[in-house]
Amino acid sequence: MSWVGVATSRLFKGVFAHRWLFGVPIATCVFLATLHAVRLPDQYTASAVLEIKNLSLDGGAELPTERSRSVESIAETTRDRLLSHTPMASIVTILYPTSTKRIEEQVDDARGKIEYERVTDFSLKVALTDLYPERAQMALDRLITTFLEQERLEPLRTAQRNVQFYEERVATYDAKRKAAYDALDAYRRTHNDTLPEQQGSITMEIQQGTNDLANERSQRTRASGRLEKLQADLADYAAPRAGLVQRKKTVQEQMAEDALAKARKRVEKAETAFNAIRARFTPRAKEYVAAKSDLDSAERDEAQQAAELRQATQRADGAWDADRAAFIKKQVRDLEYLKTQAAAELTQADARIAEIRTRMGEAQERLRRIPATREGLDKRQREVTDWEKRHDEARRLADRHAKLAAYYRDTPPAEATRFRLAQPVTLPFKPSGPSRMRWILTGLLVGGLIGYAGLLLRKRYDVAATLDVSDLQRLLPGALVVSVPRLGPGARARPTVSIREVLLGTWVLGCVVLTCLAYGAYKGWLAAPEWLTGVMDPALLGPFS
Amino acid sequence: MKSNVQSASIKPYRTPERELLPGALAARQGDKLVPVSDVDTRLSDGYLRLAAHILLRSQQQACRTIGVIGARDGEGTTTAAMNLAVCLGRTRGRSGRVLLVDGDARGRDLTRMVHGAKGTGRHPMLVSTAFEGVDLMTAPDATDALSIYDPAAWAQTLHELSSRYAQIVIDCPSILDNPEGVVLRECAEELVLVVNAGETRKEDVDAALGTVGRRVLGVIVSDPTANAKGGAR
Repeated sequence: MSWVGVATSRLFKGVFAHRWLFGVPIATCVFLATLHAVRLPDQYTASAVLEIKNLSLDGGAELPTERSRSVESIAETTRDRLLSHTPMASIVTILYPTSTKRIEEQVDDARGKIEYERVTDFSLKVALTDLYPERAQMALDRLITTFLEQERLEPLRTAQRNVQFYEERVATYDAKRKAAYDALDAYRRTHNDTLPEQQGSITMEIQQGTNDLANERSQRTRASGRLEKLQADLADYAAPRAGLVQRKKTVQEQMAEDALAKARKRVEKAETAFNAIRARFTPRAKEYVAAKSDLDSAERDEAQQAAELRQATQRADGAWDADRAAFIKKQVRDLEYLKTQAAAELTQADARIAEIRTRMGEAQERLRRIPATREGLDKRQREVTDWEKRHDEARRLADRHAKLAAYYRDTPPAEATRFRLAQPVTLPFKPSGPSRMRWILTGLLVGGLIGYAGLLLRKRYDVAATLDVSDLQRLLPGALVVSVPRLGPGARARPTVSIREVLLGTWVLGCVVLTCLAYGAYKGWLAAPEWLTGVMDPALLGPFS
Repeated sequence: MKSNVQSASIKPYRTPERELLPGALAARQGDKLVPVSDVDTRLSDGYLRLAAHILLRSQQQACRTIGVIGARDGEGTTTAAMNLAVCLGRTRGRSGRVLLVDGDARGRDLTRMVHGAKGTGRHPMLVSTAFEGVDLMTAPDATDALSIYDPAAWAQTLHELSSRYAQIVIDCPSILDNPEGVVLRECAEELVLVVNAGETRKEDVDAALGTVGRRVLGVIVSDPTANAKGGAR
């Protein structure tokens, strides 16, 4: 016997040993499940098939969002969007016209009626199950219509939001761009003498200054030489000029000077006397008048002597070599004039040289500051370029989304979405559910589980239970367990059928018969008893409803 | 130390008439038991399997002294011990005889069954039996030193006898009902548990196994459902 046979034999032995432990709950559960299943009302399923368009939308516009979405991604997310609140809320008024529940609860209930299935890679089947075929058809048609409208409105709203968003970005970037331009202009104004484009002119200016400096230096050299020469010429004329000035005094001049000296002494003496008189006498006193008269007389005499001296000098000068003196004076005067001019030229040359040096220093400083100015300009120019790019990109996206929004707004839902109704909603004629056999199998499974649980509980907690060979083998795995017939005085034959077995067998058989009657009556194979038909009446469902 | 077992001469066995004993590989003849050859095959095969298991085990480790125990009285340990000794005595290639020890000083069932009422002396004796290669050590009196009052005497006695016999099978009193079982199960090297299927309670078996420490070589399950076909003939 193969291991399958051994296992089957052991299974049947085990099941037979615990036949009532399994049989009673299984028969009872199957009977109850059958009663419940045959009383369930028929359900009708309306279905439709949606096909996903594989090509991009023929909108004539750039539709990056729709184009980038693959069929696979659309198919994967369709179920969630189909069962979203908006499409489901549109059918609750059809499915539950008199319901007093909250809309969220009604939507949840309606979701339980929807079945979703991917038929192929491109097509999706949507089904709605309800107790009435017309209502199922109407609700599914409304659901698909709302879903397609939502499929159109959702990208439209998205595009509109994107348009608004990018327009705001355009305005922001425009302001930023203008600010960057202003900053660039302000920087150029601030650094207008060190702009990079002025580097050539400043270099030429420096070169010109260098040339001017050389010219001025040569002029200064020439002026300096001329001044030295004039100074030498003036030195040559110094001796004749000194002779001209140091002419000997004549006798008349000497006499006039002596008379003048005497007159001055007399004046001084008269003044001393007058000052003494004036202190002691009034102006009307005779002494005072006399002293005053003496003083006036002395002063007049002094003036007369001075005039005589000047006349004597003039006469002596006139007698001096007038031509030669005039020539020498003229040469000296001319040389003095030329010397003054040369000195002025030299001073002017020095001033110009200083000015040129100052100018060249400034130009070199400007030239040195040009790289820093260029760096600052580049930085601000980059900011301008950056904001320009951002502005242009935002502008481009705003235009594209505006075009997309216009497309979705002006196109019908059947063309604007990626879905096509491949199979319209039809009116279902045959009931599609419920699966009564599934209920019966569930009852069978539940009964078996109850029996198994009872078996486990019995083995675990029933310490008064007796042992058999398998229990001992499990209890003493290392021991040899031999089973021998009990032939001693205590051996007794068990009764073939006990009262307990009769009762349990009657219960199981009754359940089986009632199950067959209920299912046969539902199928129309036989006429069920009246009391059973009453129990099967959906109006009496009670807790099973 | 002086042995407490009195030496007795092995006397020849006579069989005037037979009375079948249910569940045993023997029949009563007079006041003694004699072997029978045509027993139920399932009965003999079960004990032969256990005997073969014991002999194979004895080649691997010391397994001369085997105690037959039961959780409660009435499990059939006496019959099982006798059957096991009979099967061990029938085995070929064994050196030495098999000693069947009646360890139940209170009941003395095995002594009465095998040796008759005359063998119920105060001190245990080694007597021959009608079974092939099997001797019997009768049960001591309740006041004898080989009782619950002197466990060391049991140990020494069985140690001495183990040098004279190839196998020693002890009919132990029940574990849970008799205190003597504690002594004998400690003297035995291996244990054989007797269980009545459908009657022995699980809690009793658990308690008995908790006492013996699960040192069990084999289990004899007497199945009452097999009664329809069974019966010694």
